[in-house]
Amino acid sequence: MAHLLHASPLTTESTTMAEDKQILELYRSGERNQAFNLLVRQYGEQLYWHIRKLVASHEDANDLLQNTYVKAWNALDSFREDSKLYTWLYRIATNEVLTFLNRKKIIGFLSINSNEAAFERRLAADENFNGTKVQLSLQKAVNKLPPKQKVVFSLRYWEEMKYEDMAEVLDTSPGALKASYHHAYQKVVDYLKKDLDIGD
Amino acid sequence: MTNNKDILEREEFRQNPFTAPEGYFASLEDQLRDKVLGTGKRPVGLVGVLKPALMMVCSFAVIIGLGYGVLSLTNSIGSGQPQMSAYDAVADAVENFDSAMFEYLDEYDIDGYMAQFTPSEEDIMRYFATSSTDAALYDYLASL
Repeated sequence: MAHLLHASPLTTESTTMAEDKQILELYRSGERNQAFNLLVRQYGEQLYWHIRKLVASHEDANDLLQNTYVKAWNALDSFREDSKLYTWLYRIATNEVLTFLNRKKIIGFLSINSNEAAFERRLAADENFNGTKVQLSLQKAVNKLPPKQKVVFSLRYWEEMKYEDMAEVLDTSPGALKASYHHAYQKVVDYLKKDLDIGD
Repeated sequence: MTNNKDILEREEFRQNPFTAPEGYFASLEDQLRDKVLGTGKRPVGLVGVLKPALMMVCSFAVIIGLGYGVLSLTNSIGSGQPQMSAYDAVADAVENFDSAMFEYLDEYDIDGYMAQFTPSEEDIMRYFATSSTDAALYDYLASL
C-alpha cells in the first residue's frame, strides 16, 4: 500500500528558505503573477493536506484553502520575515480551520442528531475517503478532540512538526503543546481500544 | 501484550486515507488565481478610502431630508413661529378648549341633581338616633 506521509516542508529548511526568498523578491519587485504562482506551487498541496486532515471533507478543505490564500495574499505586504513564510501560511490556514471547526461545534450542539454519527456516515460515504475500518476509527477518534487539540495532534502525529515550529503556528509554548499532544494521544488511544475492541 | 503506545505506531494509522479529486492539484494554481487575484488587492486611491464614509453621509442626508420634507408638508415647522414654553402650551390649550363643553354641562343642573343625594341635618340626626349606640356621641351631637 502506498505510504503517504505528509511531512511538513519545515523539515527541509534550506530549500524552503531559498524559495521563500524568491517569492518575496518577485512580489516586492512587482512580478506579482510569478510570485503568486510560485506561492501556490510551493505550498498549495501541503496546505491543502494540512487542512484536509483536520476537516475531512474535500469541499471544506478546498474552501478553506482558498480563504487561506486570499488572506495570505492580501497580507503579504505586511509579512515582516520574523517567521518563516511557510509557518506564517500555516498559521493563517490553521486559524481558518479553527474558526471553521469551532463554528461547526456550535452548530453540532444545536443539532438534534449526533455530531459523531453524522460525521461517520458522511466520511464512510465520501468518495474521496478510501480508508479501512481501522483508519475510519482513527478519524472518528480525532474528530472527537477539541479543535485546538485536534490541530496539535495532526501537526505532530501526521506531519511530524517540531514543537518549536508548532509554537509559532499556534502561538503557544512548546511545553503547553507537548502536554496537549500527550492528552490528545491518550484520548485517541482510549477511543481506538474501545471502538476496535483492542485489549490491553 | 499490546502497549498503549504501540496502537498508534501501527503503519496503517500513519497512512493518509484521503484522496483528492482527479486533476485537482493540476488546476489548483488556476483556481486560486481566479479566486485570489480576481477579487484580491486592488489599488485603493483616495476615493476608495473615502467612499464608504461618503456613502454613510449621503444616507444620513437623505433620511434627514425626507424627515424635513414630511414635517414641512404637515406645517409643523418652517413658519418662523417662536417655540412655545410648556406653560404657554397649556394656556393655549385652555384658550382653545371647546367652550361648547361648558355649555353642555350648564344645560344640566348638576348641583340640583347631586342635592337629592345630600342628606339634610335632620336626616343626620335621625340616623344617629336610630342606629348609634354610643350615648356619649349622641349627647355630643345633640349639643351642636
